[in-house]
Amino acid sequence: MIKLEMRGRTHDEARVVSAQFKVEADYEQLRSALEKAMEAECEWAEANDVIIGHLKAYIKRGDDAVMLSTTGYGVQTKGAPGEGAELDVGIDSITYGSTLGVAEQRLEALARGLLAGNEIEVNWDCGDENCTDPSHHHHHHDHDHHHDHGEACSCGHDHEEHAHNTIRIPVRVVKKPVKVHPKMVYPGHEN
Amino acid sequence: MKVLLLGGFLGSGKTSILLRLAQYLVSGSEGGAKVMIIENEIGEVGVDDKILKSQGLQVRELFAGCACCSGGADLINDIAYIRDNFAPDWLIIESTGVAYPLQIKENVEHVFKVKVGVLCLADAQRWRRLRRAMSELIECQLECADWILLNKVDLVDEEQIAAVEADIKTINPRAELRRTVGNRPMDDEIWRGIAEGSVWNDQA
Repeated sequence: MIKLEMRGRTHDEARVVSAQFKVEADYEQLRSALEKAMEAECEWAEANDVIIGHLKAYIKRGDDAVMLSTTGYGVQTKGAPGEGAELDVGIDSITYGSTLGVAEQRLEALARGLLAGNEIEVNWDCGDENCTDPSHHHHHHDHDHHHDHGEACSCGHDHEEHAHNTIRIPVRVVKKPVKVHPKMVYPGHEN
Repeated sequence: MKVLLLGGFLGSGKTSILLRLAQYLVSGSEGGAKVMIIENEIGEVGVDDKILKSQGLQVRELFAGCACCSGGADLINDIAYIRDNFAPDWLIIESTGVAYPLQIKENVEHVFKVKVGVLCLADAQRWRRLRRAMSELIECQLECADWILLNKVDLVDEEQIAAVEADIKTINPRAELRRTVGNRPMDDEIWRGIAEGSVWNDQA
């Protein structure tokens, strides 16, 4: 079971969404898939008048990590991974011009694509237990029926932002404090 | 302790520039300067610090929040901690790509009575689009800068570069403006200009 940790929030007009998971997989296959997925996001953003502030990811293997980064114009890669079987992957997406719900759905779909073939447990967290943002995608539905766009479902939720064919996905919602991370970096010093 | 604030919009190349500047400061001075960096990321997963670690730098979490707003008090506490425990020659604060540097600068100058130099990056490739969509943020980031690096100039033509520079000068005519390509080695003269600039002689 792969735990996919997802977080999303709004900062001023920016939609800040993050995904994180660990998986045992072939590094080059995952890196290539991630690069293609990020390029696809660039195309989607361009087609939908969304500004990619920054879409960046790390793939850490062993003690070293590679970083993939795009601002909408191709994907740049820096660094090189270390050795090991497990890949630690983190993705940050900061965009402008869409709802938070859409931004969250897109990053979750991107992450799921990387984990295709694995059993996934998705944990969503916005850090606000009292969040009433109707566009905020707090949880998935476990429906597997098809319904027309905008049609009310028996669950009472508006499905306009959901895919028409929703898939039954076992989920649980985990609420925990969200930390934005300013970090101290000091060359040559031990922690 | 000299405090340098590194600002600029998301994806403008701050971390790449930060790595090159830190390398110059650590290796370029006699005996090497002690450089400490506070990195503020708007994202949750800390992508940049993984790369900084890969480059041999040690990364440690200190506080949460964007340093120009909710994290302001924590930033002050952590600068005091760094000053008192490490006494670095340089403290570089890399702000988030959505931060307003002037608020951070004024806060730090007021508390520590030190002059904060502001280095801001502009993205040559995306200038036109960002200038239209984020004009207030872009202008606020640039207008308080002492140095402005117009980055990614390898991705646009000379005519566009000249137009961007002219536009930047309308926002901040006093800053020293240089062209850079952050993912390539750069002339030490750029870093020397920042490290030895007259701004450090001014009182806070």
